[in-house]
Amino acid sequence: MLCVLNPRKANMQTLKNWDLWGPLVLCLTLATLLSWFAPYEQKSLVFASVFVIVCCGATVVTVNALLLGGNISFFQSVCVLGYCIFPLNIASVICLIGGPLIWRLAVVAVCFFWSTSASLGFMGELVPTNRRALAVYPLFLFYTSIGWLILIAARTSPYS
Amino acid sequence: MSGGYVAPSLGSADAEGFMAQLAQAPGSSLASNAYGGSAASGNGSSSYAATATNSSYASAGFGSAARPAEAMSGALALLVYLIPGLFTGSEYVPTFVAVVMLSALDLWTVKNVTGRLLVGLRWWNEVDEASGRSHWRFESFEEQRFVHATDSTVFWTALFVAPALWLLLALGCVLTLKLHWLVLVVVCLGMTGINVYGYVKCKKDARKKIAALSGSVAQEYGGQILARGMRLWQGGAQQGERQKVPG
Repeated sequence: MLCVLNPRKANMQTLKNWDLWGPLVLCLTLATLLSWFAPYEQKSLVFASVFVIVCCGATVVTVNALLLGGNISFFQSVCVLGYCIFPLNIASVICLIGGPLIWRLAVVAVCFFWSTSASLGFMGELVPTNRRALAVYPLFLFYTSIGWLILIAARTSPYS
Repeated sequence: MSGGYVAPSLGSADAEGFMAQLAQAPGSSLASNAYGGSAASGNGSSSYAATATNSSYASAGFGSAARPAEAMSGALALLVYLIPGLFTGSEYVPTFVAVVMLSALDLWTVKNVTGRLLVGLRWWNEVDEASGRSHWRFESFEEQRFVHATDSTVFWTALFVAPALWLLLALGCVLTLKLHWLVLVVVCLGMTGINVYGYVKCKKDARKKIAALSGSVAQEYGGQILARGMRLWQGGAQQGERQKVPG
């Protein structure tokens, strides 16, 4: 967790102690936040969609990195991706408080770059150099889609 | 008890002596090293070692405390799912969160606490320092024969019943087309299924160990008995000769 907050201090040693509790809690928190302010008839849909997107997206990005010859285990990678959802959690909290579209866009963009750089710090090293772009692209897609969900979810907030 | 080998308190003092003998055997030294080495990394193993060194704990004391906890933890997640009105209301989001958290807690409890206490099996993941590869370890304690039958029955029953029930619920969701509940049920099914998979692999490892161990122990005992029998027979033959000569 601390490695996500301080991307400079991240190193491979912390990757050894993976656990899936943090990602689970962060995923549930994100899904709960996004569904909290959704219209009533869509609440369960939003929650389930976010949960499935985060879980399946993390799995797909991990499998992609593994198939490209990455030197990381499945659970370590899912752990990293899950913990790097944390900045997007912060973005969703800030966005749901309200504000104009430009502000929300800026917040989501900042947190998106934070997430991506933190996870790149781990994932980028573990894939052969000539295929790094192939491994990084799904990562971008993953976090972009979550950022997009945050951006459009806040539009229906009663406070904005 | 040898250096890194901590004897789980699953038996009387007789078991202690037996395990001390076993600890000298070459086959178990690997297991004891693995156990001692992983004591720092295991989740519940530090508390486990602390309780196990107090060998005056009778196994009945441990078992009777652990048995209801084992049955409860899996049942609680199921109950919260099946009776939405009672606990969290029939809303989707709180029920989902509650059931997933309870199921995750149940997975952790069964994997780290009740499995070790009731049946002496454990499994975990180790990341190799040098190559970065992760290995799954499935281990069983040497004294499998000291596992109480009741503990074992309760453990394995609860272990297999939980995913079976979740599977039935999953079928129900598919047939009634409640796909958003299906997500939850699949997640819980996965969590209980992981425990089943881990413990079945542990059990297979335990069976292999028992087969190997009983073979070697039988050979040793059989050899001793045979040697003793030979000496007796030779002694009896000599006595018979001495008796024959005078008379």
